[in-house]
Amino acid sequence: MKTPTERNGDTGDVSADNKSDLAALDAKIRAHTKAHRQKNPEPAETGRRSTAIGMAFRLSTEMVAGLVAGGVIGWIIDDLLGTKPWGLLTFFFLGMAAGILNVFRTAQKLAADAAEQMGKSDDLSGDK
Amino acid sequence: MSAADQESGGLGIDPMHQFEVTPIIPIHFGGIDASFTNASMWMVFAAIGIISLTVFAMSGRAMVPGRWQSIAELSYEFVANMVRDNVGKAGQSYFPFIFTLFMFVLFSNMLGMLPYSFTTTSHIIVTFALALFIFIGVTLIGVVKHGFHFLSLFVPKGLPAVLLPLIVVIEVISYLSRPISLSVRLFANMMAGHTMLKVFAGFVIGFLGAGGLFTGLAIAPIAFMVAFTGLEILVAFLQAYVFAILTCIYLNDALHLH
Repeated sequence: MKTPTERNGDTGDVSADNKSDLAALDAKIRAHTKAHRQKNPEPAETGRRSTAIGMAFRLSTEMVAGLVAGGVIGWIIDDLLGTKPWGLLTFFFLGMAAGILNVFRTAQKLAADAAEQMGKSDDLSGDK
Repeated sequence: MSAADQESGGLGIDPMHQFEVTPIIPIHFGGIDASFTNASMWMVFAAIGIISLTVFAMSGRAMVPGRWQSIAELSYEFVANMVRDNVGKAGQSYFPFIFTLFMFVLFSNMLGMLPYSFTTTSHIIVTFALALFIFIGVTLIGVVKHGFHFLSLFVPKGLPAVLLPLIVVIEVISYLSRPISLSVRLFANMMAGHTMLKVFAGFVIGFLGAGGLFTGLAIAPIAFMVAFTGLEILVAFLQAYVFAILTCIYLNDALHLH
């Protein structure tokens, strides 16, 4: 585009002219973007498109985190109250439940995200 | 890949050697080892990188941004959108923290992809410190905003009174497990990826060392490594994104309680 040389030429001009120049450029960019979008619709955002292995990894860490948190709490309770091994045993199983709860919630969220993504791509193809 | 490993050739390769923390400037405070290590150094590099990007790249403030300014603006907008989508208007005041967090994790991960570098986020103590800070901060925000009512986070709606004690304990454990899953996910991803790269690099050296017919076979692990390096860069970005977005989600829970 030839705008840079033009702009260098009339540096002494008033700002009003400069502004209209920018407005024209803005309109041009907008028109181009619109045309480009229509030709090839926006691809899905990379961040949201989690790979299968990433999903599996996320779910397994949730499960393990619940177990570890439960186990540590049980251990601390045993240490404080001298109830070995009952605190650890109880809280290990409660931790397992918490882990399953974590996994369930994460899976729900992943499914909701996936559904939203599907809806979005449907919309895009719809208005085209 | 460290030089020592390449010299040791074939058999003596230790894929975990890259994670070793070695002191550069030894500092000891009354029995506490507070040395400036290679881990500290790469964290400083990450901080310098972020400051350079946000301060120097933006110093031009051009109306039509150049390459560096574009990167700075893109990252700003990316995080700003993330905060707006996940926390809403109330989250705007926490944007500086989320942005710093995202950039630090992203830079640490990306710097780790450079040869001879050190990946600070591949150490669980680093990621756990970050996660614990977030966890405590978010809990404090929730308590300050809602006071005693914050505890309703642990009581699902429509819960029968009989199940209350059991479910509340499970919910509390689930809440306490958040910093663990947050830190383990980042640390394990980074460490697994870097170890894998190193193991395959070891295969290459092993094949070359065996000589003869095996030399040609070295091409297979090299091809895998090239592909895997690309995947690792994606993972480095994705994990920084996941770390930041989960912080947003936790913050949203604390601010809005369900």
